Amino acid sequence: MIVRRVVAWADERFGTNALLHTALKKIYPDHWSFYLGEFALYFFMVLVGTGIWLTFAFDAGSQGAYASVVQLASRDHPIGYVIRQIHHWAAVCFVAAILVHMGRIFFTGAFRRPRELNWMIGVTMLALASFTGFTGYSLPNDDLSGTGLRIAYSVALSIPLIGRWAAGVFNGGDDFPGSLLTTHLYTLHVYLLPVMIGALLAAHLGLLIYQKHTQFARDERNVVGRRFWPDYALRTLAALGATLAVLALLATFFEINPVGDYGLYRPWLVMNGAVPDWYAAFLEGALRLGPAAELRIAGHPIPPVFWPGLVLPTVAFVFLLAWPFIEARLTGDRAAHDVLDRPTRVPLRVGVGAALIFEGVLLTLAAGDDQTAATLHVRLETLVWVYRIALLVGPIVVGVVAARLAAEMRARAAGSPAPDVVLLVRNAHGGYDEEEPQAG
Amino acid sequence: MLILALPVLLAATLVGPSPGADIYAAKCASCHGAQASGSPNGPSLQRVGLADVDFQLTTGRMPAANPGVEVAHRDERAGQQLPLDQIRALEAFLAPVVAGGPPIPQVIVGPNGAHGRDLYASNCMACHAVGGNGGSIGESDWAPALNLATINEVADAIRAGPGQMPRFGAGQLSQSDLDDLAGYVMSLQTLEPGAGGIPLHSTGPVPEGAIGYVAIVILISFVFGFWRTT
Repeated sequence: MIVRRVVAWADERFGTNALLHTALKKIYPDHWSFYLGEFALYFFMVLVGTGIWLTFAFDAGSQGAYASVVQLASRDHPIGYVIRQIHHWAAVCFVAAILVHMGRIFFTGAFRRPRELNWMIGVTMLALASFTGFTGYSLPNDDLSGTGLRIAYSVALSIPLIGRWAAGVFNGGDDFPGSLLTTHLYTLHVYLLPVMIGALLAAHLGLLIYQKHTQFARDERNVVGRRFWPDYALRTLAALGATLAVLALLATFFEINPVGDYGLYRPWLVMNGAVPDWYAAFLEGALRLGPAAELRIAGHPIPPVFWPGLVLPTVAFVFLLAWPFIEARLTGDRAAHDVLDRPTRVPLRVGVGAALIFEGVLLTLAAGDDQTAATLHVRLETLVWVYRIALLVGPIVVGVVAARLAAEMRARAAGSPAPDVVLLVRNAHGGYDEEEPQAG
Repeated sequence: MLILALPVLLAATLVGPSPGADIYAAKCASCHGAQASGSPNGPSLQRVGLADVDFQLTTGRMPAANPGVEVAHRDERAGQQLPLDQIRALEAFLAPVVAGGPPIPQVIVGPNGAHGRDLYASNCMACHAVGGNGGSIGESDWAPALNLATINEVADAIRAGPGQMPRFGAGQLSQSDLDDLAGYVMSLQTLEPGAGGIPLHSTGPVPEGAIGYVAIVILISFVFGFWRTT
């Protein structure tokens, strides 16, 4: 009764009935893997909500940042430690969800024409999310994140020609840590980056609605799925509930980023086993594996951190952005597609994807090479060389093997008879015999 | 046979027959030499100080598990753990030989935990990591985890600087500093849940990232489950 009156009220003033009608009966293709993007979205919403709460308790000046975080995360604060835990766990899960979602889009070919732009928006959001996480966990000015900031500052310094300027702008001065560093991080993390993600997210979803979600159903002309109301709405609400439940469990039972144990950042202190949060760890791994060779171009030295720290992620990012066009060129398939691929249909894509995943996982593992060496009781320098060789040789091997496997699976799927069909015939003794069905 | 008997005879001549002398001859001389001046298999013990001797013996790193074979990883408690009376006898025997190095320190749990944490951050964290979890220090060496150490072992190690570890003398860490620092290290061993829950051993982002992915897998299982069943 109340709903009816509210709807009528709104329709009289804004003409919303037509929009509501379309929205509520809209068909959503249904597959479990289509919920991955939603998980990312829900994590983002939780991050914004808990983040806004945290801005009330956080002191954004460099002097007070650490103390304010320790205070809000202490047992004296009624709720601060839970909110902070939820926030940081949500960040860890957010980037993971984006990556898994991106993997689904990649392997099912959802990025193909006409959805190349949406893919590029998504890849950009992955980079922005990682930046947001990095600036976020650097805000408390603790020893672990300060070490990471120092590394990032050094990588910025290594940029040819503009390095000193770029690093100085970010740092707020020539001496690290600059007095404006925490303030700049705060501006990035609270204003600029979330707004950029939000805007891109709106474009991402808008394109999705306009171009329609891709589907597995073999129908290029008709969307097959479930209506938004009540079917899909309740399902997505369940996904939201699951997300919140998992976050609540994580935040309650697992300690994350105990900055109180790490101590305030002092540049002359360092801890063994310092690694960044997992989504930035591939950069740390690249830095650890990169050779210590300093190139000279026209007499000017390029610090060795430039290549693994900046060139590598830029090349990877550009490659990912351009993948729809690269694949179209390599497969010759420039047609528009609204139906998703079974991943094995394009072995090239499977091979490239497997190789990329291998490289990413390897670099992430390499970030903890000293911990691995200590745990396995192997010589650290030996492990570094094993990783380096795996880095160069691995993706080729993994890519080729994955592509071949995909081709095999595709061939088998194409040529196989109807599976699991057995003819049972009653014999004279009362038992049953199996017979092969007639080929048909 | 005669070769094996020689160290025993020579060790017995060092100070005269004593329980410590017998133990030394049997368990130490094959690597550290009859005169405790070293051999191809083991370093000299001259002037190393009783703190180092006490550390190696009480943590069970020494005597080495295989006498006559160079120990590969001196961070491990992989030697023969002697009973306390034998350790004391050995120390009494070696006291004149190792004199000149740091003596066994006195230590109690210090009152100032925060000061202990600052000292840990300045002096220990670069090798032993946050929470005393230890870690690689290059090559095949690693700083061990501190979860098994007693307060006397901690104090011994600080004063003696065994292996690759630096030696922190009285000029660098006063007695009260030593008490506070050793007390802080002992406090790391109690798995008191942090303000946020299961501490994950304070090892930081590595297990945190893994758990993040476990959470994603749980969520995927959830949606897969209800997608399959509805």
